[in-house]
Amino acid sequence: MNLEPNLKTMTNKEKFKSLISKEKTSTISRTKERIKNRARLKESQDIALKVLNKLDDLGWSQRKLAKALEVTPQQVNKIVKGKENLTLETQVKLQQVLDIPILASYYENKIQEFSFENILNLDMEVYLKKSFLSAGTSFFKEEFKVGFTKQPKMVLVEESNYLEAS
Amino acid sequence: MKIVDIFAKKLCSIAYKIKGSDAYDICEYDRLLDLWTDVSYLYQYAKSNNVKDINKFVKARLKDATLIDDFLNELIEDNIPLDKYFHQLDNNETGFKLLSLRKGKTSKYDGLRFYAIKIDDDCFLITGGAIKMSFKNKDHQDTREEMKKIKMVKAFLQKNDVVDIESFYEFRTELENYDK
Repeated sequence: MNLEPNLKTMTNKEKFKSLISKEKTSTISRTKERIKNRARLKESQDIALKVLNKLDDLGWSQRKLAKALEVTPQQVNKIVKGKENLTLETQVKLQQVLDIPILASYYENKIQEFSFENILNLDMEVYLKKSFLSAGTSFFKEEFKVGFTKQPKMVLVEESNYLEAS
Repeated sequence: MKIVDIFAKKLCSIAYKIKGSDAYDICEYDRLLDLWTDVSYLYQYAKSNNVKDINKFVKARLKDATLIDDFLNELIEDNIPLDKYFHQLDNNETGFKLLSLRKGKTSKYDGLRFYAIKIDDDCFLITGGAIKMSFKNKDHQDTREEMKKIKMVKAFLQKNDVVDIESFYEFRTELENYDK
């Protein structure tokens, strides 16, 4: 038995409907997938943009980055498209190799390393009470330490004439 | 070229043949959305077009692409009329026009454009799209190219007597049988 629809007896609308199933694209499922993963995609896109900016700053090619990351150039190509669901391992590698902020640990480490000396370090010698600095500690840390541990000065107050007068 | 359905009978898109091949590319809607959500493509595009703030440009186009996704989703969920998205390409066009040329944009701030032909009420055929880089379409190579494509598809439809939705379906069936 022939199950094929008879095109000659079909109306235009029926012909059209018969085409839909054959010609349907995956557009709707792709759209719904993008909407569902929007928050994750946004993060992947931000990372991709940071990587591209850093590659430009360093004058590196994607191939060179692939070598540094010990991955294939195709893998790097996927990263910079900003569509990949990156593993934690890839994120850590990118952060270490390119020194770009990807994970919260990047800033946490920076805060631990922070000292006022870093702010004052303007590529020139700062002579602010340099002689008081002990090795390895920041100027302000040293100053605060001195300030808080200093014994208060004892001031001898002699009996005032005012009391005598009264 | 091939016509494929995106959503029911309302939204269709052209799929062109891949250059130097007999195989068809994915439809224009999918192809463009793939590009407009590709950070490295947008980054390179901004550089080759001498965009001053590349990061701002990339982020703005990615945002525009999410709005297009939302539009299509809204279309599916709420069955909104397509005329809300596809505006007349010719700002001076008034009244009813057969196979009216249209531009798709989510708002006046949208930097992405789909180009389509209005086949009938609430039935559109996407012919392509581009990142809007100049006020006038003739002032940028990509939009110039898209204008050629939309006119070519319109001429093709007219040559095959497609004037409304009925003749469009009829022509599609013929085209489908011809492709076989």
